[in-house]
Amino acid sequence: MSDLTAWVHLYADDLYRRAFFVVGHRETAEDIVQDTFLAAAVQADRFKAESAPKTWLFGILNHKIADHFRKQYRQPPEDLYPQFESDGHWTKSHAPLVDWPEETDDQFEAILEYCLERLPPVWRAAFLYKFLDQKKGAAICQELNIQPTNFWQMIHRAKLQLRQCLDANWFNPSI
Amino acid sequence: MLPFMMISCREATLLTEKKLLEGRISWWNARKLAFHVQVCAACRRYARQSQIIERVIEKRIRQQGVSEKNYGGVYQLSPETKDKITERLKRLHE
Repeated sequence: MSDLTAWVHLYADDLYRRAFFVVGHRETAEDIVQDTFLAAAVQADRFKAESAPKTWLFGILNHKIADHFRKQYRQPPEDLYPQFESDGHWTKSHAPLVDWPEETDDQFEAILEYCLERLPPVWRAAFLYKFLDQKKGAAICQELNIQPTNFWQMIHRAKLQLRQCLDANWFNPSI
Repeated sequence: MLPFMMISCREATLLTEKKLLEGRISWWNARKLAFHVQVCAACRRYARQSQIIERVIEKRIRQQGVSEKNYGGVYQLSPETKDKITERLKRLHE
């Protein structure tokens, strides 16, 4: 127990950073971190001393983020893609027309945060979940308890919206 | 191009996302995507921009394990919440 309370001071900020980045909501991220430590207390006998406590806690955190996603997730009601015409080709106003520079700057990161905040929370969580453990689609669908078609639709729509938002606010800030 | 090789931009961008996440797609889909981006500048651009977004997010995720970077305190758990967690942990074992 004394280990766990020490770990709160050592690792809670790192855990919170990840939770907040994925769920994009302060109170929810705080709850997830709290649930992570409470789950760690219950599972303390499963912790192996030779493994790094931070890695173990991050593993529990990822499960808690998946729990949160499953509670929030509702099947998407419609298959709407404003970026494409009915024949599936880009609309004039959504087609990527200009190349971005390969090198990004701090401003790009700040605008990316801004654009992530504008994603529907459940798309954001599904989209960012894939970065947590470098898992592949089938494993993610299983963990999030979601049909592959719906998962890919969310990932696709999230990326299209992010790209469009970055294009408008970073590359063409006057728009 | 043979009609059965043709896919729409919507399909091409979806395949781009699948390829990014899975690392690979089926041989047949890879061929269809390659044919499409050869002739579609917008989808070629989309694929490059999508990779840039992924690269920056991966960097941000890696940084979250680094305690020193606080992003102006935005990503710090409040002392009150830390106290609340330690209190709950203590109560759990009373």
